[in-house]
Parts: sequence; structure tokens; C-alpha cells
Amino acid sequence: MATVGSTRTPSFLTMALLSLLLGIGVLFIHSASTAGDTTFPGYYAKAQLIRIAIGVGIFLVFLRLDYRRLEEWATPLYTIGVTLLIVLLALKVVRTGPSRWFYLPGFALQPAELMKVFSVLLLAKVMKPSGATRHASAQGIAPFLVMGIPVALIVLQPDLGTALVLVPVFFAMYWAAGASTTRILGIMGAMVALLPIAWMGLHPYQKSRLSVFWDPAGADATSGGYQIRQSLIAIGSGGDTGRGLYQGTQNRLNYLPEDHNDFVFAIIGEEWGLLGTLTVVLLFLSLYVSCAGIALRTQEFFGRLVVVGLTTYLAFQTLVNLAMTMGLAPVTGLPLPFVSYGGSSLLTSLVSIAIILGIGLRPVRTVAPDGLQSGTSPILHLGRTRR
Amino acid sequence: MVLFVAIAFFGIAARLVYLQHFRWAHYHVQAETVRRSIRYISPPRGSIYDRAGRPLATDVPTHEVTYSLQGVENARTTTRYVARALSAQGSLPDDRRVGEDYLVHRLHRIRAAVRPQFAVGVTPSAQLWLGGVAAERLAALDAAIAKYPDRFPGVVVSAEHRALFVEPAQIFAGEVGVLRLARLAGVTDLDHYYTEHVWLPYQRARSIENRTARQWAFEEERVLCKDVSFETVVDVSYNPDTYPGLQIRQGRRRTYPEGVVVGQLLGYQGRPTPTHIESWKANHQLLRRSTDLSDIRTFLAIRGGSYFDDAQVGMTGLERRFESHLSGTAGATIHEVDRFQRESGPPLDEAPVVPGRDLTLTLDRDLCVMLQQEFVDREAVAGSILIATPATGEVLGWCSFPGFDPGNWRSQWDVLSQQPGSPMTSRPQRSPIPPGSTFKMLLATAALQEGLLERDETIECTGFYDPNNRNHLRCRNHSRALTDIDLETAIARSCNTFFYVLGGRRLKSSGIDRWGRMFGFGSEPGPGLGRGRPFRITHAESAAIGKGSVVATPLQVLRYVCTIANRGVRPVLHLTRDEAAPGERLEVSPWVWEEVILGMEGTVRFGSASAPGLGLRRFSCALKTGTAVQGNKDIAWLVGFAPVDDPIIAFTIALEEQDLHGGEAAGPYAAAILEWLSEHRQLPLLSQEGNR
Repeated sequence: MATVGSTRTPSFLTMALLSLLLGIGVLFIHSASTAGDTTFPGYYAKAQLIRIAIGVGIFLVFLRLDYRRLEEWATPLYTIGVTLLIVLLALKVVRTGPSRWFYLPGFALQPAELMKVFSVLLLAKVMKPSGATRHASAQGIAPFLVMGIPVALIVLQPDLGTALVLVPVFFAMYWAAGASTTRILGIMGAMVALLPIAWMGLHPYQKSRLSVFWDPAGADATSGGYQIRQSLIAIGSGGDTGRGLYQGTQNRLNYLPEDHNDFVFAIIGEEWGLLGTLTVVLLFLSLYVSCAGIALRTQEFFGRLVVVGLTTYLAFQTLVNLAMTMGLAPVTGLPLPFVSYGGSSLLTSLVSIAIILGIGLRPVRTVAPDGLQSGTSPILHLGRTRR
Repeated sequence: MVLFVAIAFFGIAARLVYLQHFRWAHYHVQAETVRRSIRYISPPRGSIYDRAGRPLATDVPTHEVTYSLQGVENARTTTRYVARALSAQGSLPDDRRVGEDYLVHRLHRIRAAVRPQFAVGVTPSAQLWLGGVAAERLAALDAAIAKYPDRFPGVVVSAEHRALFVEPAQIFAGEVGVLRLARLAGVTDLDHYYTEHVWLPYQRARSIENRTARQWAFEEERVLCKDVSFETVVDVSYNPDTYPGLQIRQGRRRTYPEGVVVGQLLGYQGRPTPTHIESWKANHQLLRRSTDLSDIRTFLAIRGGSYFDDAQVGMTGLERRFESHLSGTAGATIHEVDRFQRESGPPLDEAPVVPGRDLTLTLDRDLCVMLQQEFVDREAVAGSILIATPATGEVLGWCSFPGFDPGNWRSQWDVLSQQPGSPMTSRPQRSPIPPGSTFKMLLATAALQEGLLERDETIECTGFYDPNNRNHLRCRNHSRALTDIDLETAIARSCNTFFYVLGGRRLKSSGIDRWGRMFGFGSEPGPGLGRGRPFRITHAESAAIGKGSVVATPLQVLRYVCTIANRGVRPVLHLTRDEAAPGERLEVSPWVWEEVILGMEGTVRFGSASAPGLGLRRFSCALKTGTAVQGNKDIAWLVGFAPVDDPIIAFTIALEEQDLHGGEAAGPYAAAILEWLSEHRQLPLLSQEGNR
């Protein structure tokens, strides 16, 4: 197949986008976590730099890895992930309160983060048409199970935000695997119809959580939570050009809690203004568009589905985080990929992007008939969109 | 798919343009408002100095630890929020009311249980606060916590256990901090301390809230510890997490270096009374520390003459009289504050305080100290000594005994309230007493001037004014051998009969009344020096010897003595140079004064204060003794001036609760005063005889 170029390194543009995002992240983690008089890098920025160093190592490993090995590993990885989630739940019964982390020496592991990648891999594997059954829709209930188990386990943690990221990922992959739009809309409709029944089955305490979740925080800043209010003030007061790096008052005076974490974008807004925020949005958009380009170029089914799934996960998480800081979505605790402070999240984001770029590096070496013949290609929908 | 993502990103971008470009002004104002906080600064109060610039009352800068109930006792605020969230949906399944009081009671027990752990620095584990809570209630509470996490520090909802837990280290953080501070300050009864400073004010704040639905009492800045050590200041400032809700503020302490000396005259400071506050409100002068302005110009507009409702104001004495002079004008700084209302960085804007002005008195501190010491050394019960410059009316010496120390009289109240002689009363101004025989010069002057007494006229004294009523109006002041009394002898030996005749038969009540007013009895001897009682003569004979209806404050008597010393110029007595005013000349012939003063000189030469043991003969002075009855005891008077020809000082000595008569009791005081002034102030008070 000669449709894909055979470069051995990812494009300079993609790497530049990624580096810029990571760099901006470190810069604003420093701004958000210091009183301004601390010399760079300070505690948090230093920790982030160390994580980036580790992350880049893992990134390179995954970049070199032939992604088809991942197809073989998908099932064991998924099993390990589910096991970890179950262990967490078991621990939760013993202890009280939400339990999302395994505390390892020097590192807190958040299995739900890793599970995002593992689920995408196994989904891609089960959705990949094999032999006679070319259409993903013919896979029956298997994809739903693969998706449903981790979602349920993560909801029980409870970490509704992370669980909800997996839903659009599923639909994007299902659609990319060739399911008809009608079918997808049907499934979505059924889920919406089932919501009231699920609602009745919920614990009252979870109901209240959900009602807070859907509280229209963004519509009226005063009725929203403290964080949203402060975040809006931070972004809004940045104006066109911002107050200048390290000069944000919302940041400097600690009005914005978690500002190096989930609300780092608000600090960018405050200190760099509209110019900075639009730049960051543009960087993200360019990165994901180039990922989408990889999906289009990838002819091999498993690879394409993985790229679609991981890109959707990153893009959706980015969108939810940005919307949250702007009061358009409730506070969900989803960090901004590549930019927010945090180990598991950064690692997962870097692994994901490495897998995507790794797939982009490898020309498809498949032989017909394997479901990738023109006309039956799952790129159908994407192709249409492109046109 | 790409399209969908792209649209979403463009939506985000559009929202950013809306927020940052079009709504910038709105959010900018919010950001500016939330971070600016005003801090009011009490002005330093002016000092009070004596005539030589020696301090009598000064402000010492100190540090004080302040707090707000909300900041320290957030356990109770939290309890309120919890109770509100829990009781939103009716009663519990087992019909137990989840009232705030019940929750507080439970919290109290948890607190008592974990206190020993706090004491040894152990962080206690989460404690069960309320069990068996209905699921809906927990859900409501959980929703509230998710919405306002800052309101529920340390509150943990456990749906599984249908229970509510608390993290003691978080919910009682304020109390732990206060107790730690108290321990540093050496407080032993910590429970009592906390109750006194936090719990009772909290109850009051709650009752205010119940009555008026206003929260200010919780937010008000209160003083926890005054005058804290430098170590404490450092500890509290650098460890805000250890002392949550506590702040360091610059405070001031009024000190009175001489303590009890002229304490009553200086007066004391105190918290403003409701009357003060009402009057400030009426004049738009009131400032609350909780008033939150974010603009210094507004503050500048309202600060003129404004007071804080927790300011210290002069309650008595000069502190009160010169309040506006001493108090100064409040200042303020606008600071950036962080989320915990802690100041950050240099002030953004500043309205400097205008310190109160200093006050310089005409008093001589060392003289006052010496007078106080005389009273103490001679074991007097009560009395007053006043010394003035007759020509100007400046008051030089002032002693009112017993007195109190305005710096710490509150802590000594138990002793002071039991002490005889009412130490809180400023005698020179506030206690009118009969002037006794010192009043006789007035009659002499009046009679001579009005021609009712000839220059060398003698009046016969048989020891009685009325031979038919020998128990009444007697004269025992001189030897019976002496029967024909002239004016000089009458004054020097203080003959009563002589003056009974002058008063009763010649001047009569109306004459004494008129002349009394001319000499200033019944009126204020100087600004702010007290009016005494209204002057009205009802019985001429007793009034003639300064008894009966005649009463005067020692200051009124001092002005009367100064008038004689000035040969007719009645001065305006004053304590500060600013209040100096020209005296008033009385229409009296100069020879009249010389006749009267001759008699006063005679007092020392051969009269009632001539005993060699008194030691007064060394001085060139004109005196008059007096003895007035006060209950079972006497008031011993000695008034006079020195030197005779060109007086530099005039003085009055009034000793209460005496068994001796005027000259005997007060003579030693006068001698000591004259001695001291000659020696320490080099005043030429010695007579030629004394010089030799």
C-alpha cells in the first residue's frame, strides 16, 4: 500500500505543538504554585519537569513500539486495569471515602487514567472486523461490555467525570468502525430513555451528586461554586493581553484553588489574556487535527480505531476542562492534558499521543482482503467529512 | 467527527472572546474588589507633658492579636451550616430533631475527648458526629458541601454508614490556635480563657443575629491579647496555619509614668460607652473596623473626626477634656489580601494617620511627685495641695490624695473601692468643702474697702459674739488676755468674734455674698476646673468665718489667695498655656490689700502658724490658717503666698480627717513645699531672717 508516507519520525509540527503545550504547562504551574518571588522551577514546576522527563522516556518507548504488538497485549492490559479497579473498590469497602489512587512509593497511581488507554486498545481490538464480519455493528454486545465494565467500576469509585469521558470515546470509535449514524443515534436515544430508570435506581446521595453535576454553574456565576466564580473572574480580568506572567492577582493571592491543577487554564487566561488563551486553544486544535490526519492516513483498522479513540479521549478531556474553567461545564476534576500538573494524567496523555504518533509513523503493511478495500473502508465517514 | 471537535473548539474560542474582550471590565472590577481590603489604623494619641517636657501620659506602641469569631470559632459556623442543611427536610426517621444545639453538644463532647490529644500534639482521627441520619438529609448536606466546600471544613459525610464524621484537627483548628497562644501567654485556666474570649462573645453574637438577622458580630475584629511579646508576634505571623483566624495588629497602650501622681487630673481612657457611640452616630463620626471600603477616597471623606467603636476614649480628667486635641485622626491602608484575608505585599493605597497632638501642662512633675510623697510620708488620710503662679494663674503643683493610677486602676479596683478618702474623686475640682478661717481675708478686704472698718479700729473679743448665748459663735483662737483686737491681730490669730462682727453686723449676708462672687466663689476658677456649688450666703455670722453656707473647692480658694497675692488681680487658673487669659482687676484700693497682707504676715510672725517647730519663719510668706468641721473630724487649711512683696507662688493646703487645727497640721506641709521650691527651683522664698 502506498497511500501512507514512510517517515520514521513524527512531523516537526506535531512535536513542536506538543513541546509548546508542555512548556506552557510548566511555566504556568510555576506561576500558579509560587508566590512570584521563587526562582524557577520551584517545587511543583520541578516535579512536573521530572514527570515530563519520565513521560518523554515512556513516550519514546511507545513511539518505537510497533503498535500491532499492542493489539496482542490489549486483552491482558485490560484485564490488569479492571483488576486494579476492582481492588480499589474492595479497598474502598474497608476504608471510607472516595478511593482513586494506589499509593506507591514516590508515586500515586490512578488506575482510572490508565484504564482509558487500555479500554481504547481492547475496544479497537473487538471492533476490528475479522473475516466475514466486516462491520463493527456485527460484533454484537462485546464492545458494550468492554466499555461498560470500566465505566461502571469508575462510577462506583466514584469518579463520574473520568467515567463520562469514556462515553464519547466509545461512540467515536463505534462510528469510525462503521456503525451507521442511525444506529448510533438509536443507541444514544435508548440511553437517554433509560436515564430516568437509572436515576430511580440511584442512591439518593448519588442523585444529589448528579444534580450538583448538572447545576448550571456557568449561567449564573454567583450561584455557581466558588471555584467557577473565581475562575471566571481570573479569565475575564485577563482582558486582551493579560496581566502579565506571575502578575495575576487571582493566582497570586490564592483566590483560585487547584490553580496549578485543573484550573491552570484560568491562570493562563488571567496572565496572558485572550492572546494566550486563543493561542493555547489553537495549539490544542492543531494537535488534534494532526491526530485526525493520522487517523485518516492510517489504513489499518486496529490502528485507525486506536487513533480515533485516543484522540477523542484527549480532545474531549481538553474541551471539558476548558469549558469547566469558563463556567460552561460543572467542576469534574478532569485535568487539561499536557498542561495540568499531575502524574497519572500526564503519563496517560503522553502515552496516548505516543501511540497515535507511533501509528502515524508506520506505513500500513496489510494484504487484501482484510476489510480495508476501498468502498468498504471505515474511513468512509471521515472521508466524507473531509470532503 | 473532526468537524464536531472543531466546532466545539471554536465555541470555546468564542466564549473566550466574549469573556476576555467584551466582559473584561466586569470581571476586572470583580478581581480588583475581591483582592482589596481596607485596614484601619488607630491614630497614636498625643502625649501629655509637664512644663519641662517630662512625660505624664504617653502612648506606647504594642502589638495585639486580633480575631474574628467567624475565623476562630468556625466549628460553630460550620455547625450552623450543617444543621441548616440537615434540617431542610423535616425531622429524622427516629423523630430526633437535629437542632444546632444538639450538634454543638455532640461537638463539645468530641472536643472534650480529643483535647488531651491536641495538648500533646497528636492529630486525632475522624470522630463520629451524628449517626443514623436519613439518606435524603445526608444527600442534601453532601450537595451543600460540594457547592460550598469552604463552609464545611473537616465535615465528612459517609453515605455507607449513614453518618456524619468530623476531622477534629480541621474543625477545631481555631480553638487549638487560640489555646496555643494562651499557653504561650502563660494562661493556666485555658477553658475559662476560651469561654471568656470566644464562647461568650459567640453567644452574644448569636443573640444579635437572632434579633437582627445581622452577621457583623461574627465578622467584627476583636482583640484577643494585648501587648503581646515579640516572640508571639513572630510566631503568629509566620505560622498562619498554626493560628488560623488570628491576626497581628499594631495597638497602643497608654502609660502613665508617674502612676498615681496627678492620676485623677489626667484621667483614664476606656472603651466608648453606648452614649459615646450614639453621639458619634448622630454626628456621623462612627467608624466600624468591619466597615469594608475598597476605595481610600471614600475613607478620606468620612474619616474626619471619626471614631472607631472599639477606640479608646478619654473617660475622665484631661484625657476627656482634651479628647479632640489628643485623639488624632484615623488612617487606613488598602492592602491586597489573599483568599484567607491575609495581607500580601506593600499597601496599594494609603491614607496616613494624623497623630494626636501633644499636650503640655503648666504642672511641674517633680513638684507634684514631692507633694504626693509628703502625703504618704505624713500618713495623711485625704486632702489636696495646689500651687500656682499668682501673676499668671498657671497651676504648678497639684496633688489630690488619695489618688489612683490611671494606667492600671481597673486591676486594683478591689483595693481602691475599699480605700477611705474616695481615691477616684479629684478633690481640687470636685469636692467643695468649707474654707474655714481662710475666708476671713475676704471679709477684711470687703469691710475696709466699703468703709465698714476703720484702718486702726479695734473690736472687743470676750470669747463670745453674743454674751447672752455663750454656747454659740465662740472664739477660742487666742488668749483671753487679748481683748481689743485690730485687723492685723484678727487675721494673724484668726479671731472669730472680730469677723462675726464684720460679717453679722456690718457686711451682712448680701455684702459677703457680693464680695464672695467678686473673688470668684461659685464660679469656675479656670477652664475645666469645676464650678463647685452655687455660692449663696444664708447666715452671715457663720459665713464670716468660712463655715455654714460657705463651701468652695480648693481651686476656688486658690484663686482667691492668688487674687490677694496679686493685690487685686483675679487670675484665670489654667493647666495649659493655651488657656492662659488675662486676669480681672477688682475695684479695691491698694492700701486695703497691704492691711490684709500685713495680717497674713502676722500669721507667721506671731499668729496661728508661728510655732518655731513649723519652720515657716525662715520664709517670706503671708499665710492664713483655717480649721473647718467635717463630721467628727476637722479639715485643716493653710493658704498663702510667698514671697510677700512680689509673690511667685500661691498655695492652698487642705487636709481632711484631721485632729489638729490648721496651722499645726498643715504647717509642716507648707514648710516642706517652700523648702523644696527654694532648693530645687531656686525660688527666692527665704526671708532676710531666713537668709541669715
